[in-house]
Amino acid sequence: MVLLLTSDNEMFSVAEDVIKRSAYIKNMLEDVGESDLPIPLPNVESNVLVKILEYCEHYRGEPLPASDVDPAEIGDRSLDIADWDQKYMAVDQEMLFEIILAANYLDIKSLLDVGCKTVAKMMKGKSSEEIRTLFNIANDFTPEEEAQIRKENAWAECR
Amino acid sequence: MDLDKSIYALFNHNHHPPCLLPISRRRQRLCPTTPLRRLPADLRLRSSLEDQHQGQQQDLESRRGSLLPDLPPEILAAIFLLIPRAQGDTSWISVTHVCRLWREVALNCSHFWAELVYVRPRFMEFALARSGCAPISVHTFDDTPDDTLFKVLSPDRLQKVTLNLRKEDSTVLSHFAKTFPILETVVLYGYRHWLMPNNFLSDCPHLKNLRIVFGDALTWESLTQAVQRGTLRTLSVRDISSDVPATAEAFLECMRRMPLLQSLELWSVLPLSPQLPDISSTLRPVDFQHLQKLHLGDRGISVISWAWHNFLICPNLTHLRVSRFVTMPLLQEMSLSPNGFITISGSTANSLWEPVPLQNLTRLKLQDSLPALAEYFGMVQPSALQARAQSREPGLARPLQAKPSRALLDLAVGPGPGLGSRPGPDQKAGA
Repeated sequence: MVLLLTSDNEMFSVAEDVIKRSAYIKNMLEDVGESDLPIPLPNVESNVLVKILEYCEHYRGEPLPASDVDPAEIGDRSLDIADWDQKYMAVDQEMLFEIILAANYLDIKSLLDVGCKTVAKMMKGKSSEEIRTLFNIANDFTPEEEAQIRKENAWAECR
Repeated sequence: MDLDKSIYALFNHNHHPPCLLPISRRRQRLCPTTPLRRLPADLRLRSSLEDQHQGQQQDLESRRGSLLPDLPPEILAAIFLLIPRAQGDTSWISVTHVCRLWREVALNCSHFWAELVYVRPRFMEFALARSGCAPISVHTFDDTPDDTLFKVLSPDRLQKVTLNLRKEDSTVLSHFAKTFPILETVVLYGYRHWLMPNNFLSDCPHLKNLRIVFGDALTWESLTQAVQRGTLRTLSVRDISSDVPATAEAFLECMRRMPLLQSLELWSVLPLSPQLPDISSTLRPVDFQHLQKLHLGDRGISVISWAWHNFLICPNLTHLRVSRFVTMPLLQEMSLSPNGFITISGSTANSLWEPVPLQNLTRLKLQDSLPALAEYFGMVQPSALQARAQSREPGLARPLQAKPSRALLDLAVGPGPGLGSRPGPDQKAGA
């Protein structure tokens, strides 16, 4: 078993083959060897780690997925997400981004891919204003910058 | 932040005030090229610090209530790159118009600007100017103005290209006789008469994927020079023809140049079928050790000749698709044995079969214990006829639900010898 200590001081005892989906933990275990000391995860809160462990547990024993095959044809980039992954990612936005950050920190590439695809899917076909509304982002451009952007839009639309 | 204290700090300690901005923006706003100590403490400095303060306030305001945490720029960029780019649609640049931070991330991500799917020439130029030295992926027409077209087809930067040929006097194909060191994917749609020029794609050391659709003067000989480096992983050729009928030798010679092929699609391009005496005399089969996906769409007799007589040996095939048997509407009897069929490694076979209208088939013999094969013919036969698999291997013996063919009267499934190896000469004409 591997002990993990989250940023809010919660201790988790996790099976090694579960958490080894994290390249960060896997490398650490290989470098340090067996130890009774917990591995501190200062960038991950307990509620997020629970979610991360749910993912690792689901894919326990399965081979690490190969990185996305490069599509032969341009424009074939797929945003397909497996059914289970879609349900797993059906969380509020705050948790979604926490999962992405934790997956990045723990180096769980497949989870990071799913998280990024989920966000990209949310943005697909949306205007900048719709994206701002979706993620509650303020427009902080100056009038000059806005003018430049309008010019870009014109280039994008004219022949 | 207390502005006066900041000024004091700048002059007395020569360090930057604590900053809440992301690192990338901090760099932009707080790293003047002139050391701060040398700046005159005049109104200009005060004004500059006020601007900075205002910027930070604005930044905080923009992020207040935002559900986006401080995603690192590389993750934001990865998300931006995942946004699909539909044909002719440039709405993907909307992410650069959301806020300053996102804009900066997108502007600093050269790959973001280097993927162009049927965008207008002016936008192409504009995006290329922002794409730095990133590898280019482009989907375009050969009647794009030459200045722009040859800029985007930069030999040093082109990685993927889909080119629609429709301009009669275009010289763009000759351009591909040059060295393209990172070119991986070429897709050509021939909407006009076109010839493959000499040395076409002959100096592309990393060419992996080639797809050609429509070509009325394309020969297997000309294609051979394009694939001569033997680097191809994927080949798809559909609907090509030539005034001179293709020969079996030329076809097999071209196939032989692609030992690393993993996926092969041949649609209406197979040459005239070889005669049986040729099989054991002059023609040598091609051994595709890495081929996993094979899609043959052609006259039934061609497919039978080429595939079922083991000219294409594919021991690691996992996906097989056979289409366009429609030119055998009169077929009444078919007998297949593993020796006369494409060799498939048994347990991994996962065939992608298309329904085949064999309305007149009344007799079918499958001398094979391969479940995928039995399932295929069970799937395509229309009537509710029951047939029984007669296998010597108990684990594989099972009733077979025969579905299509209203006329199917006799279906027998029998065991065959082990799969995955080429049969001896006496076994070849097993059909």
